[in-house]
Amino acid sequence: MSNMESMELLQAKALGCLDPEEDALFTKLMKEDENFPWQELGHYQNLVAFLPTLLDIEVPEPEVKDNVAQKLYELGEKDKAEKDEDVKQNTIAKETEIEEEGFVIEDEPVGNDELPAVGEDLANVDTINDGISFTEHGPQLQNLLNDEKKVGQKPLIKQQQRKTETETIPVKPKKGFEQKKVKSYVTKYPASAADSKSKVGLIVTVILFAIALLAVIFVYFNLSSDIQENREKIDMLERQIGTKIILQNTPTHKIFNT
Amino acid sequence: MNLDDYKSLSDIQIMSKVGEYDSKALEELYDRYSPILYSLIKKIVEDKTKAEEVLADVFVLVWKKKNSSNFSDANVYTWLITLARNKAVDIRRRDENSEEGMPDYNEDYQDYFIIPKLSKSIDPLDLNKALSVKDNFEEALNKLTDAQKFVLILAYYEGKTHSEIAKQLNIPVATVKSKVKLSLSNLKQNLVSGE
Repeated sequence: MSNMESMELLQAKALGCLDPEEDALFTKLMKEDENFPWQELGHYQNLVAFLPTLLDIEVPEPEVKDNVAQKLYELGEKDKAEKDEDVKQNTIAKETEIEEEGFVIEDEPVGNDELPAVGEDLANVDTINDGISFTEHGPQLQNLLNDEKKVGQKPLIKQQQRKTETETIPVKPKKGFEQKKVKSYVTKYPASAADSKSKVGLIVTVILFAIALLAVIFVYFNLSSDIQENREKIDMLERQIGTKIILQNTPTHKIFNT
Repeated sequence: MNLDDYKSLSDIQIMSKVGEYDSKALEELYDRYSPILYSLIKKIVEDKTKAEEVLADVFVLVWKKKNSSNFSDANVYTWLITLARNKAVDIRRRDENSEEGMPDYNEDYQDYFIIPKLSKSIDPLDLNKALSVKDNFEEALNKLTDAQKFVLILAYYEGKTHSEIAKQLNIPVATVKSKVKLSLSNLKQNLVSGE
């Protein structure tokens, strides 16, 4: 495609209506042509970008902003997980590397004559057993160990950072991308064990209190019904006693006549 | 720096802060650009819920690709508008074609077809400046013939290519190409002469 042809397609490229084959050729030309009309392309790209200014501008619902914040949070969590996985893979790869290079420590007994004397500087001992040189491989091993330490420390640092974020975020009162993060942290990270224990304790106390209250109410109603019953019995007995006394003091014929 | 302080920053300053993982800067960018981007996306996908989803995806893409473009000498406005338009057109095309015959949406596809590649030499443009020339632009557009305007709408808002427009209008592809070229050339000319 010549420069002339690229000029022919410049407007279509800016408008985004090139067919795939044309687009591939145009992209190739953009990369390879030293005389590519960059300025012209820039003019048309800006011109086309004016088109949406003529639309009736609508404001999206506030929930869309929350949705963006949620997606960004998930993206961040995914990135963290991927980084952690990479660190884990690197550690495994390095361990494998150590094994492949022959840094395998075998638990073979060492003869007494081969052991350094008490107080002898271990650094001066070059070889033990099969001629494995510690001073030779020592620095490499040290580097590997240091690397592993660094690798192993990373998640700890991240945990500390997460902790700091969860501690600082609740101070921010305004709703926004960071505020959304707070909500997510609340849902993602469960409460501590102490918190959950105190919650369980509270729930148990409330249930026990409710049971005790029900028991008191039950006993009260039971007792009051018993009292009522007893009162009725007393009344009945009083009436019976009263009748008997009357009957005893009244002559028989009077009773029959009345 | 609180959110209000960000309002005084230019688009390029905001974008450069977004590049430094400043979420408040992204929030300001959202507040500033979401209305125009949402209106554009809604015009293309023709569905409110889908438009909201695409808008959210656009801002996630902005965050993910914040360092893929050098904004120190480019313009954020055209980059964002083109990004939103590309993303919305992709969704529309996938809906229309039921994803049959459409390439898989993966990182490579996204980098090639969705992420805008602006010219190495492009004039700076921000939202305020773009809105300030709205009347002149409308006047320039109204000077085009109906056919020229129609071709622009089919290409820009409906995401049709040369051959698809030719098929829809039942005219030769060469005619469509010349119409597209002429309509944008005239539009540019009208805008320059009108200023």
